[in-house]
Parts: sequence; structure tokens; C-alpha cells
Amino acid sequence: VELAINITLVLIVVLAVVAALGWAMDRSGDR
Amino acid sequence: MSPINLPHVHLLLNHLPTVGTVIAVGLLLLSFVRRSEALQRVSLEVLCVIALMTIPAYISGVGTEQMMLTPEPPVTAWGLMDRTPERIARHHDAAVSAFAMLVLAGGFAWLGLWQSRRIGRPGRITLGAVALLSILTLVAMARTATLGGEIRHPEIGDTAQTGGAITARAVADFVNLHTWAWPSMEVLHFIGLWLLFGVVLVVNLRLLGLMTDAPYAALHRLLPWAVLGLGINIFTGMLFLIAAPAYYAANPSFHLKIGMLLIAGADLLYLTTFDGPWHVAAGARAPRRVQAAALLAIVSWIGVMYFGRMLPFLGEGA
Repeated sequence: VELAINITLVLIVVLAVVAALGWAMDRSGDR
Repeated sequence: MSPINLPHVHLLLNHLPTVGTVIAVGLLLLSFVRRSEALQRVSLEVLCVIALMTIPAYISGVGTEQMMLTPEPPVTAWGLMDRTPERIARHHDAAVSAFAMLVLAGGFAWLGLWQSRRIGRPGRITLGAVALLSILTLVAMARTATLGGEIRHPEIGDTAQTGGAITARAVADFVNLHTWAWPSMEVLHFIGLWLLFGVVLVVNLRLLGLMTDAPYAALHRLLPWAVLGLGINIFTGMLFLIAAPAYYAANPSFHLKIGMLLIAGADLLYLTTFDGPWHVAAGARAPRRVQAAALLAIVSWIGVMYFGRMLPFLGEGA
């Protein structure tokens, strides 16, 4: 159970960063 | 054992990141002095190509390290090389940071080229990040090259030098000693894969003639997500390689995967820098040469996935 929680926490953090980066990159293409 | 001679490949490719970064930084600085947007774009393109070519340079280096550290190396004439593990490790440690920085610099350079298409010029923050990262990369690459050169020419070596703050051993230990690390990276590698392939497939299918009512420019908008996916996969892939070098370095399936990745990665540059795809308007079909590039890209990405999946089955231990 601890392993699953750790993996989930890592994924949440990394994917939040990825989503923020993707959003910022997408917006940088606006005039 | 792969038919590829990794030390030869490494000796050939190791010059690209070092010399290439010098050229890219030189062109970028010259573009600021001359206020030339064309020169600026060329410098960003060179940086992207160099970042891509650094992937096989790094991987062949890890493969060469594995060969050199075996008690009875398969290459009998290592000559006057210094094969002490410490000296090789210093070179590898320096390469880890230099490679990571160059990949980041290449990512920002790609974003600058994408912005050039969309808003006519790279963003200021993007250009600043490229300039900073590429200059830092230049310093890190010079160190890496010096430490690598000293393996080949120990007579001019300085044994007091250290490789870098982040060591390959520390990275490998981190991945191997935390039970959550490998499975988390594996999940991220797959998320990166679908993010990348999902976007690349849709964009290239449009160029092949599907969804012709959509203008190419609308789909071009999605490309940063693909590059983000590629970024996730290069970093997680690098961690896999550092954590289990013996598994990957000599695996012919891995070499084929990386070969396909170079073609497929070049497609991401093609899709934003070349005029052919960009001018495909709503309702229009892409020219034949653009269609051929789209087909090649799809086949290459499928190849990357295929040979990645085949790693355990086509490798030495299969």
C-alpha cells in the first residue's frame, strides 16, 4: 500500500508540473 | 552483442555536442549583434539538432564505459588509455549534467521556433532561457570533453579534477534503492509516450490527407504537448539507462530504437521549421514530399515503440 501511495504522489506532482508547463507553452503561442 | 562498435560510434559522435554547442552559441550571439532573425532561427535549429544527436553520443558513451570496465574487454587494443573506473566515472558524471542541460536548451530552442511560426518571433523568456542554458551547456560540455579526452590521453590528464555535483552513481543508487522510483518512471514514460504519439499521429495524419477540413496551423498548435512528452521520455529514459546500463547499452533492440528516435525526433523539428506543412490550408491536400515525411514520421515513431517494447525479447538475455 505504501508503495502505491508513493508512486501516486510522485505521479500527481510530476503531472501537475507537466500540465503547468504545457499550459504555459500553449499560451506562449498566443499573439 | 550488437554488431555496432560502440567505442567507434562514441569517438565519432562525442564531437557533436562540444563543437555543435560552440557553433550554436556563436550563431545565437552573432544574431543578437547583427539583429538578424534569420540567423537566430538557424542557431535555434542547430541547437535542436545537436540536442538530438547528443542522445546517441551519450548512450554510446555509456555502452563504451560498460565495455571498458569489463575485466577482459572485447577490444584488445585499448592502447595507452586510462581505464581506471575513477577516471571513466568522472567523465560520465560531467556528461550527465551536460547532457541534461543540452536537452533542456534544445527544448527551449524548439519552443522558440514554434513561437516564431505562431507569433512571428521567439518569446523573450524563451530566448533568454536558450541563451543561458546553451552557455551553461557549453561550459559543462567543455569539461566533459576534457575529462573524456584524458581517458584517451592520460599523459595530459589532471587527476585532481572532479566530474560534477551530480554523479551517475548517485542517480543510479537513487533509482535502484527507492522501490517507487522505477515504477513511477515507467508510468511517466508511458504517459510521455501517449502524449507524444497522440499528437504526432494526429498532425501527421492530417498531412497524409485525413481531416482535410482542418488547417495545418490549428493542429500545429498541439505540438508543444508532443515535445513535452518527448522531454519526459528523454529524462525518464536517461534515468533507466543510468540505473541499468548493462541491460540497455549493448542491446541491439535499444540501438534500433534510438536510431528510429533520431528520424522521428527530426520530424518534430520539420513540422515547425519547414514551410511545406505550414502552408497546408483548410481543405487543401499536402504536397507529396510533405506526405512522404509524414508517413516516415509515423513509421519511425511506431518503430521507436516497437523496439522499446522488444527490449527484453530481442536483447542478449532473450
